[in-house]
Amino acid sequence: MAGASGLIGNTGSAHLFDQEPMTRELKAKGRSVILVWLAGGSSQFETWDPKPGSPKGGPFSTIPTSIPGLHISELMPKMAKRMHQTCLIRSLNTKDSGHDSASALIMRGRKDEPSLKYPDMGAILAKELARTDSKVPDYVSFYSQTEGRNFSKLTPSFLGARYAPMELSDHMTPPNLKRLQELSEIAHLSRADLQQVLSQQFASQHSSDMVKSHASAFARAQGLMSSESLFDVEKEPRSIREKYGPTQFGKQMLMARRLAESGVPFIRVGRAWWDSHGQNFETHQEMVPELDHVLSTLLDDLRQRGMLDHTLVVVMGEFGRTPEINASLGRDHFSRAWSALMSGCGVKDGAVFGATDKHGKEVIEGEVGAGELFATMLNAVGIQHDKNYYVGPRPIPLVNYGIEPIRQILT
Amino acid sequence: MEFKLVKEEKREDILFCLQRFEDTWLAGSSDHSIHPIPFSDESSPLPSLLQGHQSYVTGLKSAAGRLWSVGYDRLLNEWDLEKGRLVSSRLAHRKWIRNITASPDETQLATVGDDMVARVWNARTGQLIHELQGHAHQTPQGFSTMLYTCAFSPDGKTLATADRIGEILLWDTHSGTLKRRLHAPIMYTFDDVQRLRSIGGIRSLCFSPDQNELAVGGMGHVGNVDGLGGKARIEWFNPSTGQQTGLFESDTHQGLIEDMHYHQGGSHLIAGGGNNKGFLMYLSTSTKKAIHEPEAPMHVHQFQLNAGQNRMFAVGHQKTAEWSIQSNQRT
Repeated sequence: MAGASGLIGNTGSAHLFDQEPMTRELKAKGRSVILVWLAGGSSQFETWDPKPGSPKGGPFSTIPTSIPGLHISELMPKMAKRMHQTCLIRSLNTKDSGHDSASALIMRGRKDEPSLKYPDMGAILAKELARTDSKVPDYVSFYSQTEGRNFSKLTPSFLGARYAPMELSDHMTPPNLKRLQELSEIAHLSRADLQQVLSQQFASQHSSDMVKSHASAFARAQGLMSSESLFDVEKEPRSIREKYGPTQFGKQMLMARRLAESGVPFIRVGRAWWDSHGQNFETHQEMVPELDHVLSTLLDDLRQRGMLDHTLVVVMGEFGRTPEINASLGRDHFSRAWSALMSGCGVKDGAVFGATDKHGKEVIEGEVGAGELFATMLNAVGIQHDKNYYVGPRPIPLVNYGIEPIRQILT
Repeated sequence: MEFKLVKEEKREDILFCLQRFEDTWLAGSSDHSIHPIPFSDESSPLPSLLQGHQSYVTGLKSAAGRLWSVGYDRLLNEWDLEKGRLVSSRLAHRKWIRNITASPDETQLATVGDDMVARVWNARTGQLIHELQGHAHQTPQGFSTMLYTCAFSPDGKTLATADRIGEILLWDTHSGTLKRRLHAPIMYTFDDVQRLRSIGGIRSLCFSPDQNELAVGGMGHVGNVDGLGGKARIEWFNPSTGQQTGLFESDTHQGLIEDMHYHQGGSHLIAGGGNNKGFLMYLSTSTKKAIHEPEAPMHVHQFQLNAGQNRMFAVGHQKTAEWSIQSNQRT
């Protein structure tokens, strides 16, 4: 068991110099995950698992896809042409239909214990995949709308603040990255040089993890300041920006690609808010075409840049929506049979895993939960799901004991 | 006036539209069929189910002795009720068809769809007369929009069409030209802070019998666009001047006003709709105030009055219902 990843206390102190050979190799490969987080819960019926023959299947028709025999909602014509480049999971039963608790479950792969909060997938991937000398952030989350933003507060938990997300909500650019206006570039660099000299002198006389951590944190802050231009989509050619489109979601997905390209291990793009208790069909008429366009553009862009072999794209929310239609023509929360999509690093192209019954009420084949999904994502980017962290002497596995990834879809 | 519920029946499907044809009530369903509905005034044997749509049937209209239907399958279908078969079918819009109406003289039909075009058809031949383009194809925020409803003026010279973002266009039915634009922007809520999406839209239109007013039905501002949480709302406009002449927002009911009919020569207006619950409203058109706002047993999608205007038949979410309309001292 890979316990060498470090003894990590529950105090938030981070172990910055992981020496495990496999981990070093992983980090060198520069793998990234882009999570397209459909916050509020999109409907599987109006996206990936339509049931056109069912009385409550809804009014949308289906269209054939680039996978023979596979149909998806007519609202996704662009993704229909790209399904052979994706891996569709149609058999999630995550057993939690509350926004907050279900978000936490999906992001952490399991429910917290009363005395232990688990780190979320972004923090784990940041820890496992980030290069120690990285000058870019390890974990970035875009979530601009206010609804649901604080559900399942993203947390590195016992992995420590080093792996906490850089959360961008009101602005696309991180605050406080710019050097102070009253400070000239020369003065800024001179101060950095002086700080480095003093730090080195101090470190030579006081060797400890705390001193190393301080020096490392200072270096990271300087690195982040130099990465300011990463967050400027205007640096992209106009033709690329136009492909992603003018919407906030499009801009954030383009930013996600830029960040992944620069080595950021985990980027979450939150598109809120899919919670269609009223007028579900019109909500999806409004939102799915945007998802279809932006997601297909991202996948094309990653493929053309040769990034899909080391970038995993995951598309899901905290749950799906009911196989019933309420009086407001809405669909309510439903976690018993819903879908997620993956594409890229570590997963098979053109795979369709699992199935629901003809009304979409139950999983009838390949039932998996949040843990299996979490383990699959870890394995897809080369992280053993049965690895342990340690809180004091207690081993903490990355997923609960007994949970296995969906091996049928892993390459 | 008061509504007295005399009959309600549960169903599995959702009924979106209702039409009396010959002696039979017919309703368009989410099961893609047209169902005969056994309301209490039904005397003749019920005809068989009409099947020929491939999605929700959202509009039914009789004109010139023919029965027409439209649906989300983009089709305009003509039916022979006696033989229970489809007479003709044409692809009438490029996106979902939301509604159909007939001119008072029954010579023309009008259909509206999410391709944001209103089309006027010859009700005898089914030939296209006008293609009316003027509604925006996207919301101001760049998302898909919808063209929900249409209504002819009593003299048949004007067709009103209304969309999701609160625009009402008045068309000359003879020339097919745009006469006037009216605006009811409160009927559309876009939430760019909490949820980045919209809800609402104008769902019903009704000209007063004297043609001096056009009633526009929908829902007021919505705080939480996850549901139909805005106050049920009606705005009145003078079609000649474009001026708003009245406004009613219910303090009793939230949700969409799905259908409206003038009553008692135009002195009153009946409205129906709902959110997760259903409602009816009886309003004075002179004061623009509600006289009676009972709950309905379901979200009402469409209703009709009998010739004597003392009976009301409605279809909606998994139910049909029937009321007698009785006078009381309050009116």
